[in-house]
Amino acid sequence: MTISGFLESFSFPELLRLIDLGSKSGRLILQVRSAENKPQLMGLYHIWFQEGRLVTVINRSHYQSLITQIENRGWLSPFVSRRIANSRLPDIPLGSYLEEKKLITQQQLNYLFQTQIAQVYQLFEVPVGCFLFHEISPQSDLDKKKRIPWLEMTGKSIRAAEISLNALRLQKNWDILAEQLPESSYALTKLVKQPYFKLIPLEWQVWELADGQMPLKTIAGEINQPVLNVQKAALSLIMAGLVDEMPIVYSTSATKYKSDRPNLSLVHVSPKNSTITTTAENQPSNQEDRLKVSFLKTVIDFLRSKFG
Amino acid sequence: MEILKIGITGTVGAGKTTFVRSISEIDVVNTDRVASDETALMKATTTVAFDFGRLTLNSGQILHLYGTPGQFRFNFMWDILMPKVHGYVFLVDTSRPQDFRASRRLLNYMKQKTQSPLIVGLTHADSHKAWKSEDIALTLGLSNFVTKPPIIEVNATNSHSVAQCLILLVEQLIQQGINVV
Repeated sequence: MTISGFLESFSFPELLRLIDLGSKSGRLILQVRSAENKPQLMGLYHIWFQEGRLVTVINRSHYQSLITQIENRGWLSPFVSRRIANSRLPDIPLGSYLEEKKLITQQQLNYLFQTQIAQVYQLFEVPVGCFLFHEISPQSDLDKKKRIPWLEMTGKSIRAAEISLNALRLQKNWDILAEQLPESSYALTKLVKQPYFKLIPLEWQVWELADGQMPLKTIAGEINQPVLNVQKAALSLIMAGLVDEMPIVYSTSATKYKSDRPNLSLVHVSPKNSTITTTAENQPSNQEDRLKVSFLKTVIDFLRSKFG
Repeated sequence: MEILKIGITGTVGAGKTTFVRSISEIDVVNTDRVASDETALMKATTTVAFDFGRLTLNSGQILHLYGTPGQFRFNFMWDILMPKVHGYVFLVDTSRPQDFRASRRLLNYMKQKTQSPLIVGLTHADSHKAWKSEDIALTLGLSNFVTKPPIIEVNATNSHSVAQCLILLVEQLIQQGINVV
């Protein structure tokens, strides 16, 4: 059982949310088969995560090792980089090792890491591709753990959910994500007490009005923004794991159903008293609808004896 | 007459009709119609009102099963059925990640519609494409260990497996004391 599928049906932001929520470690293999206006994005990507944080991105189709990138920027001499490439280094990120040896600065490492995640931001524009996540858990065998690409890691990391938040702010082509936008009639409910990411003003306004009651279209009116902008901000918050979309369920009455709902008497259900009434409440509340524990225990015994 | 009403819900193709058929003592009262939309790519017919199944324990005690439609455009049936059930099974096809988003939305809808106890039934868990139950839980937004409902693998074609699923739900009803005198 592995996490696998197609981006057309389970999107990249949804994958990142899953990895973030599950604090997952492992390698996400992403095969981009078509990228419409951006053919340079086609290829194979290995994206590594540790406890829900992205730690490195390796573009297998246009591979250039981290040490080569450092050398090409003139931050290490060819002699030193060759020696490092041929050495047996400890199991720590190459960037951390070089920093410890005072061979590279924090700023340089930050730059290299930003270059890596810039590739990931572009993947949000990819409509077609397939993915496979190889999880490494504490129970995984040593062989799997040995595959962690220390030589490709800067030592920097970013939460998977924060990548989505950043990337969706930069997103230009929303056609790909249109299906995922929450409906304007839906409300948002908070999943955390306070956002753990820095929000931009629009996201913050939407966050503040996420009370589980107010539809997005009303929020849009409240903050004087087009509904679509509010839906986009809402999606960013959803993918960041800060809120969830909730349908607003209005209480309904028997009268309403009688007037504009199909006539259930067309469906013949026996025995007679099992006919479904058309009142809507949160749960069966009539005393006669409530069940005795002894009856429920009889049901359990019956199911066990008949189908056990 | 004591009647335990159980809802069987989930997205299109999750196995609701099969679940009810597997255990009902009567031929399921079925409202399947020829699928005319994208559902036709998955299966020839789809439930448009509900599936009704029954199990008679004795002359005074009955179990009713109500399988809901899976499509959002039939949500008026959810509104009618779900508030009346004592508990429900939410089915998810673990091999169809393309349905997880709809499952999450549907589950949120159902949780708004009724506070009755639920359990999540995972179908097609033997498929090589199946996702793990903990990953399904995360995609459904069930990451809170305190409020997470029980999750069980179920073979909707097998009456024993379906019965195990129902037993777990009835145990939840007893444990939570909701809809119970």
